Amino acid sequence: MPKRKDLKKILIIGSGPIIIGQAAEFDFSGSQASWSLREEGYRTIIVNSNPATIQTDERTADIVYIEPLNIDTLTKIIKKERPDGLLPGFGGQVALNLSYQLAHQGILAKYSVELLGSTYETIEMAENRQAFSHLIEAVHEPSPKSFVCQNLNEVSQAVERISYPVLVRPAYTLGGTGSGIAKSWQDLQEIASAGLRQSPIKQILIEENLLGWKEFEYEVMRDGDDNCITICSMENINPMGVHTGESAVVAPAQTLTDQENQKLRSISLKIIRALKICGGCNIQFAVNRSKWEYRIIEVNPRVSRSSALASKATGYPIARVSAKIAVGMTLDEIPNAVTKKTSAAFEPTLDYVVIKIPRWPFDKFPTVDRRITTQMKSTGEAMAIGSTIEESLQKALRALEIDQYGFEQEAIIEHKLIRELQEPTDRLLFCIAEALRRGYSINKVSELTKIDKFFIRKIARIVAFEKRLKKECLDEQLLMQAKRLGYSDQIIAGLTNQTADEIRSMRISHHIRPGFNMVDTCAGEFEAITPYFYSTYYTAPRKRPKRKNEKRILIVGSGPIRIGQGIEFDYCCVHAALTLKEAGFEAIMINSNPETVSTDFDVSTRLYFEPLTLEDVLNVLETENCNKIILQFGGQTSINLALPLAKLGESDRQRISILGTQPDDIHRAEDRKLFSYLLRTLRIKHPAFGTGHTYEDVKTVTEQVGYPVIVRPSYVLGGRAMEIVYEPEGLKQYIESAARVSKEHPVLVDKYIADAVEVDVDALCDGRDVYVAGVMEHIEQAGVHSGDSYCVMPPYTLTPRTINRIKSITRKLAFALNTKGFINIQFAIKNGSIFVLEANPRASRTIPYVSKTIGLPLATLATQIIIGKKLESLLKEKQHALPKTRFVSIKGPTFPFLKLPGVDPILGPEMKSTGEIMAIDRSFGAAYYKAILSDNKFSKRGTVYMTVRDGDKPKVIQLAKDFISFGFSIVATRGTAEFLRNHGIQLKIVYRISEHKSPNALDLMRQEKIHLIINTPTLTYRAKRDGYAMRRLAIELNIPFITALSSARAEIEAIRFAKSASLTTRPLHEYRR
Amino acid sequence: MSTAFLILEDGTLIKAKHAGVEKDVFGEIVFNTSMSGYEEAFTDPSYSGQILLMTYPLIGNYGIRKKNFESSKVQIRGLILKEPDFSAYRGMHLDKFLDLSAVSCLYNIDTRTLTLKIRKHGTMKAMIVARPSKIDYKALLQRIKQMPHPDTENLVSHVSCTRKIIHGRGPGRFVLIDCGVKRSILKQLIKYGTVIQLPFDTDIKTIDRLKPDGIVVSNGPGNPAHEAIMSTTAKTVEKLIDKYPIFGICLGHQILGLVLGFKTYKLTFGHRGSNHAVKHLRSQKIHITSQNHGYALRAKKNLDAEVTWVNVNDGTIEGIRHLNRPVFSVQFHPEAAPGPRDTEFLFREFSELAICQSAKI
Repeated sequence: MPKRKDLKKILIIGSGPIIIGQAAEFDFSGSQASWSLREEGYRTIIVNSNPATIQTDERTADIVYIEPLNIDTLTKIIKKERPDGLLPGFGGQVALNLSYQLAHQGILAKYSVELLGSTYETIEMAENRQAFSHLIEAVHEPSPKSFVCQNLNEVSQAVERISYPVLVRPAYTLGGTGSGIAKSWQDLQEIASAGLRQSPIKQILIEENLLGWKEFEYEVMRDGDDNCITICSMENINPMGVHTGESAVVAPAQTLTDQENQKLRSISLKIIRALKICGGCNIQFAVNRSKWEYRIIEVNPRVSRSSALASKATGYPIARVSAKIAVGMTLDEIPNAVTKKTSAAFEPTLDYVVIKIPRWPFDKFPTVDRRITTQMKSTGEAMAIGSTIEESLQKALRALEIDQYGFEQEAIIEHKLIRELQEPTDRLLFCIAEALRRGYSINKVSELTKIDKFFIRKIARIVAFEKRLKKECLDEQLLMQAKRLGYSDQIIAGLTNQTADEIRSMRISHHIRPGFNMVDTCAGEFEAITPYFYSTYYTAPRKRPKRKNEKRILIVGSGPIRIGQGIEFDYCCVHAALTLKEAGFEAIMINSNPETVSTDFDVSTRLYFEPLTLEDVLNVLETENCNKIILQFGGQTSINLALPLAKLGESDRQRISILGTQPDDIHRAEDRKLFSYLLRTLRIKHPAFGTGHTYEDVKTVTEQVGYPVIVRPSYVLGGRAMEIVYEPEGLKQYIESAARVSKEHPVLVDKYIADAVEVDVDALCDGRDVYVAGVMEHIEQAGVHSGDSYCVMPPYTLTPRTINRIKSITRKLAFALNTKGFINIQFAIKNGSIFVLEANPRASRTIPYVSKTIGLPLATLATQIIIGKKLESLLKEKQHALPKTRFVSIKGPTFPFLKLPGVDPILGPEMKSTGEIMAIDRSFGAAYYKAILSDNKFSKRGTVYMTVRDGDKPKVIQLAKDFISFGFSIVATRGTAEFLRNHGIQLKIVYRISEHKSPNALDLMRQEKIHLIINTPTLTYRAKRDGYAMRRLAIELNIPFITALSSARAEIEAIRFAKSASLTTRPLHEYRR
Repeated sequence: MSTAFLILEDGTLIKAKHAGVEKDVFGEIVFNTSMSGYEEAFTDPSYSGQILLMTYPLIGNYGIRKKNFESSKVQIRGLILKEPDFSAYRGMHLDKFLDLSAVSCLYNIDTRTLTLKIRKHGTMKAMIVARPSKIDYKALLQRIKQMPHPDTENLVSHVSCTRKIIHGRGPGRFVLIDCGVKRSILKQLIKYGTVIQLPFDTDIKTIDRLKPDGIVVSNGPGNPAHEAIMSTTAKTVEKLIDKYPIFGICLGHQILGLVLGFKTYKLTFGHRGSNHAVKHLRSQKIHITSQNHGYALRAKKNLDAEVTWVNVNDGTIEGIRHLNRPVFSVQFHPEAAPGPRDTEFLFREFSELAICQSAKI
């Protein structure tokens, strides 16, 4: 069937901000879908609240809306744009749920918008657990025994029909939020009530427990002609009981015979046919291998995290093909992106092994429960390709960027080790290796972990080789064997008492270099032209290296998504690659994250799927015969390579030129002493700081600088890096629990400028001119990490004079650091004084947000500067100063607290957010209203609970009055209440738990009698601990929660707007008109 | 574990590790791209005369079990692997199996580079030199060049049964002309009736006496246009066309094609794998199939037959049917094993057709 002519305009819903369970994969799928449809002549509209996406670029879609993702907004957009079709399956669960609601509420029918790819019935069947069970029954296949429950009564009835332990799953939640395993009625009550609350349709599922079964996934596709193919089979290393997003995954399936594999494949095709999906679909199986039993546990009628992984693992562009199928094309009509000659109707076959390992954010949260379960906690993932399990596994480990280059020793006492094996955490793989190292048998480890012996045996092989490396003389043969087992130079060096550099020299002298194979989807059977490669020591390196090409540049990506290094950097890398290609360069991309747009092989001239360690980057430079490298777009990952690469450049072995700002200058900005010296010479103010090598030292320095201070260790223990300390006790606690202070590992102390306004600036510099692209004023006070703050463009309280001074300091600093490309500077402003907190001569987190606000592709401009173009000519046609904005653009964070039990949701200098949204409108109130809506937390009326520290009390009088004038009622803890009453404000008193009186604040929250909380905690160590229970409860009950008075004031503006007007929805380009 | 060599007729010499029985073997080197199903592949009679290279690097992961065999013994002459797994905890270990079944296997070979070479040059004569005291490269190369290609032998005669074998006892009666049949074909047919397996050179009289409802011409190794096949199987099939419904599979399809006036030719490197998309021309439906063949049919005009299936990728003929008789064949393997089972329905269609036809008579 040829593509449909009756469709012209197609709406694609994005997935919103990056959160746990929904990362960059949906930017990848949405962007592919849009490109794929435009290529066929359709017009696309993309709606997403996440500015750090390629899909919301105006070069990706015809019309872009950066608006909150909710029914109201989407209805307005549909009404205005009148699309013919809606693609529900490319924005994860968020888009699927919204599309389902739009259909359910008759909005799609009203405006004659057709659901493309998945119909309403399909979504219903796949997502409603009961309908799903019926469907699976109808095709005569087994699904887990399960019962839908709407209340605890039904739960108790259900559990009589299955035995403990049982699995609890809330319906329609993301990444398994709220699910858990209950071993007793008591457990069950707790998990079930939480689940019922969290499910948007107040429905949970009580299921048969399949703990310890193996888990397999199949990615399948179907077109409108009922042609079905399988793209990839995947095997989870972790057994059932661990969410597939939390599991290490291998592709293709390794331990299934052909009979078993074909059985599961046939069932997958049967299911996609029964669901009548047009496009991609993911089917998950639980398999009990001791007696060959299986259950179909989940079907995702959309592209997913797994399909992104399958696309990168096989080279088959699932999202791209799915989009074309959704508009009526059949598989044989869709060109094959790999061979460019044949069609998309074939099944990829691999001649390599792919392994994905999740990346967890636990380094940021020392108090979090690290166990990996049915609920996702990881923020991202790294993927590696190699010839064998061993090679891929060790590559994947170093691709995680957790400062480990393979199976390093795990310092853990015996009984804890056993517990790790039984109740896995993020350290599981390392603990398996450690157990084997300590002599545990493969059987024993497999028994404890319930992981297939096949995988344990592979780890055992790696561990066993350690002994040989330690004992035997490292000769050419042994080294080659080690490399084939995936050992990094670094680990070999450690085991043989040498340096990584020495190992590297030895490798080079023995010609032990990796070969690079193409990911061609067909195991070499056909001639393919995919510019997509992976390294392996099983293939000999190319004999004649490519001819040196002066116009070849390597871009180092940003690796797995983690807190502090999100999709923004991938966005910049994609722009860099596209810009280089347009300027006639060969853009070589190296990255290890399978979710991203940058690892779409269409983006760069050639893509290398490799870990981002020095060793792996050098291998790519060598094989490409390339000596130019761009490091300023990949976040900390790439910038950290600057000094080592520069050092290598000094030895004449390899002349590598780092394009853009030079390593020395980067160092001058990063090293506190050098930077402070620089600021002093430029007469720029900065907070006082000092360094301490002992506790006494730190105390003295702190007293000199004066409390409060921001402390950070140079050596991190247990992950707690930065903190604001208000009094001596806090300092003592910090040093004891978080930082090991010693001569080698000093603690840095900075004066914390309390109650200052923080400002972020992004600028471009070509050495001759500086272009200040964005001056962003934070709503939260300085001291809250800039990634966790709401920020506003243009600044909403700063005077023009202050802004000018900020710009002039930016210029001075950019020139002083010899910046070529990006520079980001953070300022604190207090009582008219401007302090520079830090300067980063690289792409910042806010680049996509600023780009979208001002309508200039900053990453593109930065790339052009790096390759020698001048700002003057680049900006000639555009205005040189900040554009005159008649609108307000706000960037807001999203937090993972709900998914991470045990974490205090209080904000501080350590970043905690996973993603961001952007909201744009004509006024501050409207924009902030949109920003809050994007996070789904807004009440126009109800009760505000106030509990503020003494110093803030005078400042809340006006706030309280405003809330009352909007019809809110107020409750407050005694201190706050008495103060407010004295100022004529009527309110009720609530008690803290410690007061043992009723009404207690937590009870009111549980009874849903509190709709907004304003809590400015006293930040002493003890007080912080007291407020924890309340904050945690607010998170779990999803009660809006404000910790800064400036945010409360912004909230007032939003309520004022919401009370008087309704939001308008405009495409991005209209705001700038 | 000892050092051994692989030498190809184009002069390529590769050093590798050796497993299995230490014997020198000569054959045609071919590659298979299936990611699972090595048990089935090793025992598939169509590989007779061939040294098999598996492109999937890890082989032996799930051990070896007899129940997954496609014939009573190992059929490949030699095996080329990247990273065998000799200690699977299910089934028999691969190395033990190689020993017991007297297969000479080379491993730790960069199979990808070798596959690319075969893709470019086409399948080649090759030799595994298992235990060289020293290697005389020139002499070996000379020897390989002089050795006749395995296809010049009547390979079918090595793998066909030598006497009548009866399977099952269902309502239908099918004669299976065994050119090297895979067990899975038998298993499929038995679902619908009694299967009488006959040697490849059985004459028409013997078949007539059995009063079959339909005839299946099986898969098998080698060149379909081999003189020994043309003078036996092909002759018989020619006479069968007017009498019985016929279903040809793989080599059986090629023989039927030759009988109906098509020509056969050798593909550069053949189709061997589990991911080949074919299109049924009448319904325009696509199916993923398992394939294992080195020869293909070339279309001709004005025949009594038409092309019914084509390969989506290279357009080669994947199926034909007689214009007026219930006679058809497919190049791919509807019985799968290894591979997808998307086209299993062909056995049902054939048996229904055959039983219907004979009811009419």
